[in-house]
Amino acid sequence: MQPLLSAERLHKTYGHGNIFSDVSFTVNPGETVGLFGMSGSGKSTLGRCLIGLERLSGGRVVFAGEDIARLSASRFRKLRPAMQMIFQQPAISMDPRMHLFDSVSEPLAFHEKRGRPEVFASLFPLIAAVGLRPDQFSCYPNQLSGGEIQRAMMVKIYSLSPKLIVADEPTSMLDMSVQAQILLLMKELQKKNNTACIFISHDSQIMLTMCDRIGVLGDGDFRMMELDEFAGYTTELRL
Amino acid sequence: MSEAAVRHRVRVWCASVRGTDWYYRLKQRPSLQVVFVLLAIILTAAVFSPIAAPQDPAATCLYEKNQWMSTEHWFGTDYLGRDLFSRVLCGLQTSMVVAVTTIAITFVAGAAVGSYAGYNGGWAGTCIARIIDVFLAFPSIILALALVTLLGSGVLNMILVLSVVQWASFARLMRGQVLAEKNAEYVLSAQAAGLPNWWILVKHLLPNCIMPVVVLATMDLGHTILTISTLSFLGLGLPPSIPEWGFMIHAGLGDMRTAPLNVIVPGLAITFVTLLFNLAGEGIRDITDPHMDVEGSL
Amino acid sequence: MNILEVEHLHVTFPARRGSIRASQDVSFSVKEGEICVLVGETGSGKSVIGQAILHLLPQSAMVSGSIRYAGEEILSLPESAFSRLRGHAISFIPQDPIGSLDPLMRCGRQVAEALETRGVPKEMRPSRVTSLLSALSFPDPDLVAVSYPHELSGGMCQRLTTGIALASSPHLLVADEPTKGLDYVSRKRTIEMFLDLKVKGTDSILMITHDLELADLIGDTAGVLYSGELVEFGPAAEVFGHPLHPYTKGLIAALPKNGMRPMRGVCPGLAALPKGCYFQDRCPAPCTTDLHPPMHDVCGRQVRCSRC
Repeated sequence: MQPLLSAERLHKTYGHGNIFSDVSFTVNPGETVGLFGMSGSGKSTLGRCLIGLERLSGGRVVFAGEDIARLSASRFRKLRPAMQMIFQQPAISMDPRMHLFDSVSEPLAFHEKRGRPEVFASLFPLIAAVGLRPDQFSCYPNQLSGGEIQRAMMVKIYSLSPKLIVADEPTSMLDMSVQAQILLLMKELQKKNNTACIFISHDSQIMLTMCDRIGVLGDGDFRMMELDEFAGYTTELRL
Repeated sequence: MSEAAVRHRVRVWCASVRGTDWYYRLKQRPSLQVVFVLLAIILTAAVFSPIAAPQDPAATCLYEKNQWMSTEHWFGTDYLGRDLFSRVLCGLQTSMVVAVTTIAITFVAGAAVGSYAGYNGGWAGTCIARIIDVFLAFPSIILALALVTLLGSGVLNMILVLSVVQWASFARLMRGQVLAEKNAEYVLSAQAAGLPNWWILVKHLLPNCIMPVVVLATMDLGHTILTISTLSFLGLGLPPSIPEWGFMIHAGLGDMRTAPLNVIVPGLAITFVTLLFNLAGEGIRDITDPHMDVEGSL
Repeated sequence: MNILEVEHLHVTFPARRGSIRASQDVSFSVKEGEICVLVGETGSGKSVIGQAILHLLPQSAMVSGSIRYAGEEILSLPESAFSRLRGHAISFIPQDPIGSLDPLMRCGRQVAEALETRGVPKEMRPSRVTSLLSALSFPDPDLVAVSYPHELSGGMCQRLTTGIALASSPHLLVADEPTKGLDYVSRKRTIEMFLDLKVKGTDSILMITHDLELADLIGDTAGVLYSGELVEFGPAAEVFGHPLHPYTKGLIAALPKNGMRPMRGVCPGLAALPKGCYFQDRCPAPCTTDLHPPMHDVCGRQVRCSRC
């Protein structure tokens, strides 16, 4: 099987410091790969580099058979909807000056050159699937809770039918019971759409329940582990 | 319900949600409504002032110079016996035309240059940032003097000169705002969705960054009026035949002890208009900000 | 003996439409040398309780009920009299350990400052700082004392703010969300630090947190807050080991290590609470009455559920 994404000897420096180097791994369609590391280990930066939100200093990312750094700007924009990202801070992951229905229907409306109300109407099944009501989308982001915004984010992302989602600590700002709801929802949608996911977190418990394989970043080193190996590694570290 | 009917209902709903919020927040603020009404009156007065002035602002009458308020001269007369009310009213037009046009030009130029420089970090952005610094470091009044000497006086030249002097402070503020905001997650999310850069800049960054610049613009209005007067005082601004507030103050300074109205009337006019624009600017900031809807949260 | 007694505490904030009942009929007590943990999610009104105890509520808040410290009523105490207690007998560990330290002052100096207000003579302070820091299991206290906050990790900053709170040798320590915003490792280290404090067992601590694991590990007694009121209060091992209230059960089942089975629904807003039981919409076995269930005793602890 051809991997959906393969990272080959990725390498990133900031100023004079090395953030990570020699990171290589592959992600197959529908698979969840974890990226584990302490704060400051560069796991968020790595996640952003993988979908081209930040430039790599070296190495290449091949997504669906194409080297994303070599694509022209316009061709890369066409490819982008297939690789989406969920962010850590729900408070600022939606434009604070836009009504939510505008925010969630904007990307599809742009790509398909349709009106936003029309796009929004077509998103109703998805909105029901994430457990929200359409009338909640008349709010601004600051009027909703973190959990609700992450659900709305899921609507926005899945409206683009992505093949890969990078989730950068999507629940670290949420309450325990909401965290469980959101993580299960992510898993469910992933299964239904056969979406691959790169799950970034520093919580080893969550990693073990969400991921199929886990890459550990530490001191610029990168190691891919199977689940039981990872469980052993974290007990050793008193985590 | 058919699919078309659903779509129609959603379209109506979206329009109603979008339409209400400015209006809704304005409706909640009676004091702001007063400000906007006053502003509308001022702008109308500025347009019609040559017709509306009760007396000829240029008619001198040395027998009646430096008079106090009376039924004939509401705000008294100046050192040449000209009616101060009529002069202030006509000065409103001059000051408004020069100051508002200048601010409009600097606002648009500053916001455009600043947001471009902030969003494109590369060498072009850095170059523009350095140019902005050079303009800010140069003493503005000397730059203005040099330009006026070069171009000659007149309303159009005055607008041009003031715009060249002022655009940099707007550009710097805008650049800072965009720099702070461009790594926010909603911007990254828009990039990841494959939206082009111009779209992100115009639809997301501009609305989120522009408000401090709007407030600066309204505060700079009074500053601009005073700069005009400084130039007029140095003999490089508008010709004295055109009634203009700044020049009125400077002309009245000599008689200030015996005829304080010469200074007070145009001075209060500047204060009033500046204050009004400032309140309107902050009002616009408030009614466009969704955070203002939230009630005392915990 | 009870060092802190809170009885029928009500805190209400006026709002444009109606009012927000942030805390309703909260009663609990902390015994001397005991660690009491209040657990709640966002919007459960948990930080309001800590702020009420420390007189840190905004002016607009309407407070009623009684809070007694060592038998003395402190809720009605005027600010001048209360400031005698705050920072001395009652100490406070604020949220956001990194933000609550002065970024331009060396860490040792910040601890010494707290000793200064306590009246410790100048020549004694450096040795006291060292002993305090080593008591909080800093491996190299002298190095920490000359560092700036940005040179320390989040967990070390948390330990330092705890050190500052302990510098005044308080009788009661109030900790507001000590693990909030810390990364996973710092959080683990903070939990270990509180475990150390628990083993030493001299301080009475009231801890307010959303972190169930922390609460389970260090609490002697525990209370669970939902929509501004206590729904379960009792010995921590009982509350977390054999929860009675359906909300407590739901919280524990939602933990990743317990299989992450979420509750349905969301917390009702504090401005628009339903009639009767506040948990009814999310309860797996909701009761049929409209009556608001009172706190009642069930095998050695208090539960607010008519089915228990």
